[in-house]
Amino acid sequence: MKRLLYYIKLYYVFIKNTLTRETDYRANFIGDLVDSIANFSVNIIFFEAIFLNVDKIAGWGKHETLLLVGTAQLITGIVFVLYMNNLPRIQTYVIRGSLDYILLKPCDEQFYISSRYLYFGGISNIILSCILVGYTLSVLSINIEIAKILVYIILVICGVSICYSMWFMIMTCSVVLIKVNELHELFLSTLQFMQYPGSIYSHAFRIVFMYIIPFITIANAPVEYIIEKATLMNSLYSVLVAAVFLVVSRMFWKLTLRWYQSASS
Amino acid sequence: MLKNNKYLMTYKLTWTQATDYRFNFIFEFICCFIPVIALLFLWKAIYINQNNIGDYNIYMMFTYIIFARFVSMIITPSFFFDVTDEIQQGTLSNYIVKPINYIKYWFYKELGSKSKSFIFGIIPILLVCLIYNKYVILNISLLNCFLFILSFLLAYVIYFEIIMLSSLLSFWFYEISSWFYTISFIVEFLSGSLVPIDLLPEFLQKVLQFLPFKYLVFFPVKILTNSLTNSELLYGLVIQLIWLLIIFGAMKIIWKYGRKKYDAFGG
Repeated sequence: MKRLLYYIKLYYVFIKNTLTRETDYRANFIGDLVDSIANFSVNIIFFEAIFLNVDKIAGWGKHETLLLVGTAQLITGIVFVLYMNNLPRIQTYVIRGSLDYILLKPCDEQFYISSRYLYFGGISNIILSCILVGYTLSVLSINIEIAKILVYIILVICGVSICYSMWFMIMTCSVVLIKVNELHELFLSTLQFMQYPGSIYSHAFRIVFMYIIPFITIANAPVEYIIEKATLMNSLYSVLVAAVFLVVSRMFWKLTLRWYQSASS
Repeated sequence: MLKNNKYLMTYKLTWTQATDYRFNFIFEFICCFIPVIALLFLWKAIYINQNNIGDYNIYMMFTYIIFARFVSMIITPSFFFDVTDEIQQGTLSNYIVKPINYIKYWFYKELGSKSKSFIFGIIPILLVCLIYNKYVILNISLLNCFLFILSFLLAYVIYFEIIMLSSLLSFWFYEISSWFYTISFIVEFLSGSLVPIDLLPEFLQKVLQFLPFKYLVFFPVKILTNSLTNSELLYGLVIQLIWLLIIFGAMKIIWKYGRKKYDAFGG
């Protein structure tokens, strides 16, 4: 319990510190916000353009798809705010040698590396996607019950965890491979594809993209639950996938660190 | 000839370097093509209930997506973070003291690695075309091929200039790296890599007529698929040339003022 309080206090200090840093670069902050808004708009325009010509994509109507886009953008926004300034830096730490300095710190290394900085530019993404989600839910006339919203939020958190674990595992590779630019680019471009309904894939691909490289699971799970395309039991597989990925990414990290520390001595 | 030699040397060096990282290039190509799978699935699902979207049937759409991805892969510059790093870390000073034009240097450097990419890239493209061969249609004349290459080269230079201009902005903006992903995503979208421009809403199409983006990918691929009238073709090539010159000028101006600022900080 004491340990938990320690980490909560530490995280609070990180947030305060990042806030102080960011207010020095106000122009960049506004730039980041504009950046997120532009990104968000492009995604909407893409689907608007498609739905000008079709009624449904693999059984998903326009507003259902937009709800999916909104949820995916919400998850992306949260992941970016929490990790955009942290995970890509791992490669820099390895190249510059500052990883050793981090390993000397008294707190857990994964916690430090993953939460040291925040990226406030993603906030506009979160706000816009909440608005989009709210709008599409009302157009689809979904009953807003507290229990449903709670499950939705839990599944969103699972989506964020899956995204984090995948990103973290890729950046952990940079400790061994040093340069993971292509893999990193691949990961960031596949983030787009969590906006596509899972039903577009043929059976084999769907299994792969739901459980092995689960970018379908991330956004599809909460949306399928809330528009009742899937039952509660079926949606909870997302929790399982999230738990597995978190554990695997942590084990992989620990293993890599052990290799790294033995290699440098 | 002596003056050009140092740039050709840069080109040759990057070319040789590229051979050393052979595995890297193949890996890079695989990484670029995996996202296409998801996109192709999406379009397959969209076409399930109908035969035509706009002017495209499913075969034309698949052809378009595959060629657009190929063009996009080749012409997308990769030096953004290197240049912004050099400017912000101060290693730019190493170049300023030498009798070398920084922008030209990077142009030839990029050209070296991109030419290698092009050659390595032909193989997976042919592979994908073979796998999807019932989807990919190509009827092209020699003239079209030549015009495509011309348009492709113009697009390459324009894209280089756009990204170079963006990286030179790091003279003023510190945390510009986070902009890069969105700049590339927006450019990728507006250039037609994700969706053909003629399927976008009318007002957007009108705006894009005059911006350089659709001439990066959409226009060259349209030449390749033989879907343009002669006047559209000519018009497009002229617009490409005009934008090439405009952005070149802007790049030069930004470089001049950026250098002043850089020197003011003591280099």
